[in-house]
Amino acid sequence: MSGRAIIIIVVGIIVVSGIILYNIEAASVSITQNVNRFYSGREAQNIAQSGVNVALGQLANDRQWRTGFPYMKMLGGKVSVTVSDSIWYGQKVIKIVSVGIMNSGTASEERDTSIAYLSKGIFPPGVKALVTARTDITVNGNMTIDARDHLPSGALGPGVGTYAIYSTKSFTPGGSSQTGGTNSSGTDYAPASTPGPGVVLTDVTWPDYPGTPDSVMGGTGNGFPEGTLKAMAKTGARGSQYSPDGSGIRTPLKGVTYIEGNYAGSMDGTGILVVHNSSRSAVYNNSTGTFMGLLIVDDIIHDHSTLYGAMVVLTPNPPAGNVFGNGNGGVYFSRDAIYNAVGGLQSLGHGSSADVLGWWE
Amino acid sequence: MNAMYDLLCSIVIGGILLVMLVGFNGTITEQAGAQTVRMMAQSSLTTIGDLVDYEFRKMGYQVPKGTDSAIVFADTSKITFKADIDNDGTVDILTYELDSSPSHNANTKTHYLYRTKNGQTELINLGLTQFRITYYDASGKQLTSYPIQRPSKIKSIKIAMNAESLVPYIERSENYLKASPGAYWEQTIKPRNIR
Repeated sequence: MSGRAIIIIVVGIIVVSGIILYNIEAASVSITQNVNRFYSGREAQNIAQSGVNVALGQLANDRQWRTGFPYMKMLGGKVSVTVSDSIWYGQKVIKIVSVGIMNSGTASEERDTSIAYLSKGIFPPGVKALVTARTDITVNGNMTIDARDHLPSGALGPGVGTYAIYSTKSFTPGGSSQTGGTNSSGTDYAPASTPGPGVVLTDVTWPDYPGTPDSVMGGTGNGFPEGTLKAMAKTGARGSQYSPDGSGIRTPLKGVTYIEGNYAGSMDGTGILVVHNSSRSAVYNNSTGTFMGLLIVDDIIHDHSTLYGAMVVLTPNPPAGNVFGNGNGGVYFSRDAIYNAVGGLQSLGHGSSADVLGWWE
Repeated sequence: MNAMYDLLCSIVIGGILLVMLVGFNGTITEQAGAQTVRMMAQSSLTTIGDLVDYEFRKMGYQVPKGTDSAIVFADTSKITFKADIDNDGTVDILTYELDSSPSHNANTKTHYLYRTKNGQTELINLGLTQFRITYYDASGKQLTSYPIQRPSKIKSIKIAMNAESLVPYIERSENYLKASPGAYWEQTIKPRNIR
């Protein structure tokens, strides 16, 4: 064999080896890229799930929080969280959508989405109307009672409001007061001096009328055995407050505000406001401010405030008379305000995932 | 005479070099094959891993409360569970089961994985040699009596899978004969919809 032939063979083998080495390298790169892709996908998943958990923590402190997080750095990647009110299989929910992103803006970008549907909570069975009572109710002045459903946006939810009044006794509108709402057929009636047909229900029979704030919430069956709301207020969680006599209450109200005596302060704020004592003689009079949520009182007179949500009057024998409002106050039914007030109470103060109805991840 | 000596030396040296190159070439050719087989096995494994991760995480999604558990049957190589996998409002029933019989692939160590959704079975032939599921309760304690008698106790699931090439491949250059290079995947999933 000549030297030239050997050189050709050697060069040939080197070329073949080079090609094979290149293929090995390519296979190695593919393996590494596959691992990277898989790893980045899992990282994106972790980020997305963490985003949901952070949002749950925010909602535990502020049920009305819907701001979300527009692209926040997290765990070496980014997360985008949106929070909105939604309907999930017929239930009102708060929908949390969290998108985790790894290697953002690169060819190896990986995204994963985690969705949680958070229960908006129960609708208190003791709320039968915008104003639920077992007393005679009289309104004077420019009082407005509008039981059409008021959405957070300010718009009206057509046909999903409620009765303006649901009372075991009478309702007497007077002065320039106006009353409106939605009747059982789902027909909305704007506030007028003479309420629309079926908007006011009086003389209803209700032998088991709730006598306590917890029974308004549904009692033990709904997770509210007697003393629950008071105990929640005493924890101070989510801004809750308790006062034995109406003193020391700070606004804005948040969470559960429980007052066991007469109260004449502002209702500015959100949540559940209870003015009640064991003899059902606590009176809320000359109220001011704007409140979004559920108001449960033994008796209320001279309402000059603005309330979005609903109210329940507990006493059958109002110690301060029957004039519910005689000024420029207004009560407006808002299903969302009630859900926001009631939702997640059992996990008050905790970033709990227990209220999540479903996880899509 | 000198010319003959030079020629002899060059043939010997060239021959040694040639033998070395041939040996080297054989080794890297084998390695290239093994690496390609590994890559294919790993790709197969991550494909199944993605599917399993996606569907197992949805276990119990939109399953009505009141049923004992979203997990209907739980064994070491078979699991049946409920979930609205398509998010279309209908609860689906899924079964993953590793066929205990060897596959019809050239590599008879591999097995078919059957994925059954609402009675319709799909055969996954990606070279699985192992598909082992272990179950844990809320405290992280492993449940060891198979099949699991009370699936409602299951709170987390560990899936271990091993994949090899569909055709046998033996690396003869190793110190020992290494058959069919593959890849291993293991993950513990805690489906949040089963409570």
